[in-house]
Amino acid sequence: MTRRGAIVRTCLLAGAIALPGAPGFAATTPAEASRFLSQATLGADWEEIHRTAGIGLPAWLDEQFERPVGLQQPDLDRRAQMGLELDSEHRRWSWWQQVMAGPDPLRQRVALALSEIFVVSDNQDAVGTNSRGAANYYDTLLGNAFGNYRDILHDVSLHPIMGAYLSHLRNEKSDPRVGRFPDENYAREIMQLFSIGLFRLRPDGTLLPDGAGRPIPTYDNDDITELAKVFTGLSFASPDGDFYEGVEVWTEPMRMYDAHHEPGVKHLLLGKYLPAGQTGMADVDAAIDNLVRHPNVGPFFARRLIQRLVTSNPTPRYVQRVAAAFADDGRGVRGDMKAVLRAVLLDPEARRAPVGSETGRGMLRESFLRRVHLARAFDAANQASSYPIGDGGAPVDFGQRPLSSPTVFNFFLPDYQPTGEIADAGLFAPEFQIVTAVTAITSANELRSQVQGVMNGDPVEALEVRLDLHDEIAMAADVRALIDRLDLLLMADTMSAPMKEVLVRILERVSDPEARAKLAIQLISISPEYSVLK
Amino acid sequence: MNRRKFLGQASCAAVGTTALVNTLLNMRMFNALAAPGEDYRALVCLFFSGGIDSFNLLVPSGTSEYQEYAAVRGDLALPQDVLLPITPATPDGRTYGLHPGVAGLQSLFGQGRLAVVANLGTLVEPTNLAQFRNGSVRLPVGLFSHSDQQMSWQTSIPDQRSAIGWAGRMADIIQTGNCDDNISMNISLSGSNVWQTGRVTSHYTITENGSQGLWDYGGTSEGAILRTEAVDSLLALQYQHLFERTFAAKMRGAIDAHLDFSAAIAGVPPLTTVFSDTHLSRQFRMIALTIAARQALCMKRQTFFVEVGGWDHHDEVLLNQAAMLPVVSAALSEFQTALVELDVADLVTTFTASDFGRTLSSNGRGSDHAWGGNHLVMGGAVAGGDLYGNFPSLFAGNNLDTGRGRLIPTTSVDEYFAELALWFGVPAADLDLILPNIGRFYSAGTGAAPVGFLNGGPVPSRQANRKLTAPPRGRRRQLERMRP
Repeated sequence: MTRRGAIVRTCLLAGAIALPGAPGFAATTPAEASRFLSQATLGADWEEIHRTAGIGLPAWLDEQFERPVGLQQPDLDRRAQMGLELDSEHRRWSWWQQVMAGPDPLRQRVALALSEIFVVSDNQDAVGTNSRGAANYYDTLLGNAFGNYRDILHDVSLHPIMGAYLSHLRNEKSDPRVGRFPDENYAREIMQLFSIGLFRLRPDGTLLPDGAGRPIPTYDNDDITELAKVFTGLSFASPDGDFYEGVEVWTEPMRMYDAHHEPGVKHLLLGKYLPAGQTGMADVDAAIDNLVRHPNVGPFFARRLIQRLVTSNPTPRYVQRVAAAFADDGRGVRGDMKAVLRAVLLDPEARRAPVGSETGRGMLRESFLRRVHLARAFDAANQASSYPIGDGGAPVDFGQRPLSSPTVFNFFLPDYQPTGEIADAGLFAPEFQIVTAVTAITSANELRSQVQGVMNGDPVEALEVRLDLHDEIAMAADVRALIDRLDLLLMADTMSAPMKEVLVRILERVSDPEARAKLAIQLISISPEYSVLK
Repeated sequence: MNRRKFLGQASCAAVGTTALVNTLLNMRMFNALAAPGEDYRALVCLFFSGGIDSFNLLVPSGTSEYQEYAAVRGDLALPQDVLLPITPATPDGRTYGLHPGVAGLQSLFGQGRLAVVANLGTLVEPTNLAQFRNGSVRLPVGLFSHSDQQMSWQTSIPDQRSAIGWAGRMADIIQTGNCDDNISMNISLSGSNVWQTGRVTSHYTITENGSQGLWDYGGTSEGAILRTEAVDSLLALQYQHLFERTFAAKMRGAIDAHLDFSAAIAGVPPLTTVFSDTHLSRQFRMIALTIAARQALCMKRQTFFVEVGGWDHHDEVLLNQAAMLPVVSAALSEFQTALVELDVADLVTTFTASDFGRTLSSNGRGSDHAWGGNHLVMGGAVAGGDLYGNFPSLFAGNNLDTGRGRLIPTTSVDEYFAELALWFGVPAADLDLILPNIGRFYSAGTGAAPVGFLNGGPVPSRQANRKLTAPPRGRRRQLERMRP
């Protein structure tokens, strides 16, 4: 057998991965491409689904990895240069601008997922009022999305927006004379939320119990007070070099001010320690390396990323495969994000087509991401090719808005279980935490408004962002064809026959093509079947 | 609601085993509670999320104790002369003051409507410093972590990670025979929370403006009729996927509940009590209106959950609390005034909770995660104007200090909640169904109150509760199976 033949055969056995460009192969089906793009992007339109089906999923990933970065800060810098005001709303405009028109759909999707793991929030004044800094923070996530986990952890830790959010900015060394101790906030959350979690994990992400069957804490409070010492002495990289009063530079990494850094030996995890007398930044680097090398990181981060992109309840084997890719990308590199993303998105568990009997498969779509999905699937735009969408009501109406989490614990917890059958089945469903009797209704009303009219209340008509429904309206005379198109576009061809029958029965009573197309999209967008990404 | 009507509703609701058990318990409770006055109780939980620095809410003000406080708090210490003096009814040899921003609370304390419970926190079992240090005592899971300690406070089972809260367990057992299955006895003004999540009963969520309705739903225009039919049809489909079925049920429940809830609220006469123009005050106003609508909603027992966030003051404790505590003080005062206006002050008890207390020592204008903290209980049934629990010594290295002024709690949340649950009507014999660890801290058989801050008054006394016989063995086993 030729080498090429062996590859083809292997790929065929793997079931989902076809060799791009091989003669006689349709790389994959539009349905599979649509489902994949629901996981790997914030939404895809008809053309992108069919283009992806043509080139295949691995080729699509390779292509995305090479795309330039759609950064937010340049938009804000332009506004600043023009002397225009800058607040959180304008940062959200640039978020929409890049999400809708940026060159990098995969990167935008991954950065959003990272922003829900390495959480900062504009509900805190320092983040809300320093929009260029917050945009720069998000750009840091974008820039590292295909880089290395170690760089993410490092850059996030040194970002002044994170420093302000978790209060290690201007964190002063201890002073026994006045009974002052280093701030423990960042030391705690970098371990609990950004790297290793509270309890020892097996390589497959399940809890590693002690002899009595109890979970084993990864650290104790002494470890926190020790790591708190590491994160002292950081402040703005101000030209005047003043730790306390220096100019606030929000778009550059914090600088170490060694005179304010806790001196002395510091203990780390895994029996390591930092020697006395080295620079503060050497302490920080070594402490971050110490966390990155911890065996928990791979399975911890793997589960979080899988939950954001693919499924709330990955099997331990799936987590283990992704954790293995984290541990070694095949070239001996630990933490390579491309390897991790390939492992997450091309895993057989992610790629296997949904089967009706799998009643816990997939995840609830994030509340706000339904809005983004509709915008991208229907190429929302205005006459100025801009996206001045402020989403002022989204935190209440959707219970969610990018970079507006109520706390560093994100909008929902990884282990959230809604009362009833899901909890009874022992399944997790994080996104249900923000589905309440309020948001279930208000988000449905907002989705209706988005489809019916405009996505922003801009007083200038040319700036109103609307969905482009020309194709759907043009074919609306044929109700079944319309539904089939929307099924592929929005639901990856998973719509059940009974749901189709309901839609046909209702839509046949609407004769105006535009009204019919809009009602069809509205009903799908609030339907239980669409709401679950399977 | 008369007994016949209640029986009718109960039997309709009794479709499953759990519901049947609930109904039997309901009947037992309702019989037991045939006391004079209206048979209604509400518990309101005000949750300070983030971990409130409550040793600046209640401060020792006598010279020597204040010096001890000022020394340990460093740059976090409030000046002695700004503290609002309070005089607890039971002298302990010390004097105390409240934070200068809570004049309303000082006034309620003086009127005997507010009590303070000192150094309260999560404990798996009674714990002292030697045991803490030598590891001979079980400690709360994820001690000092926000998410875990919020969970522990809300479950009152700090030795486990559980998604079932103690108000949820109460609702599972004593869910009253309300008119609408979609409106739980547990109502949240702050979205999903563990405290009100039960195994079978969850919470109903409203906003400061009440419930939310789907636009056009139930309307009479041609378009509205079509939309209503479409939504009803989609939600009525038989879904196999658990997530789809859960989503459909949530949406169905929300649509239906709004119709009843909004009608009930619309029937409430306007309150004359004026509420401040803050989110928290507007939320408390809506709680008052919901309580006022209790008969239209057929509620005999209710809990309310309000979360007010932003207390994780690793920085600028003094500035932030100076801005935030007056908002809390005003909202609580206005709420109590509205309850008096509605003539239900004795039937509603409000209590505070939080992730944890904070370090007594400073990290430079901020404090870090700690353990024991001080809390407030307010209401007409509260034996107010007094301090409960044990206010600790504050000097660094005292016999409760695990380091940096992270104090071991001297009253467990189990005891605090037991006091509230008994008042709410949970029979003493069933207390451990609500608070499974309570036996480690309190014996219901002694006749003493768990902490003592609630009066008997017009509510059925705990004496009466204790006279209740335990459920028959089989029934109790059924209930025990519902434990987390």
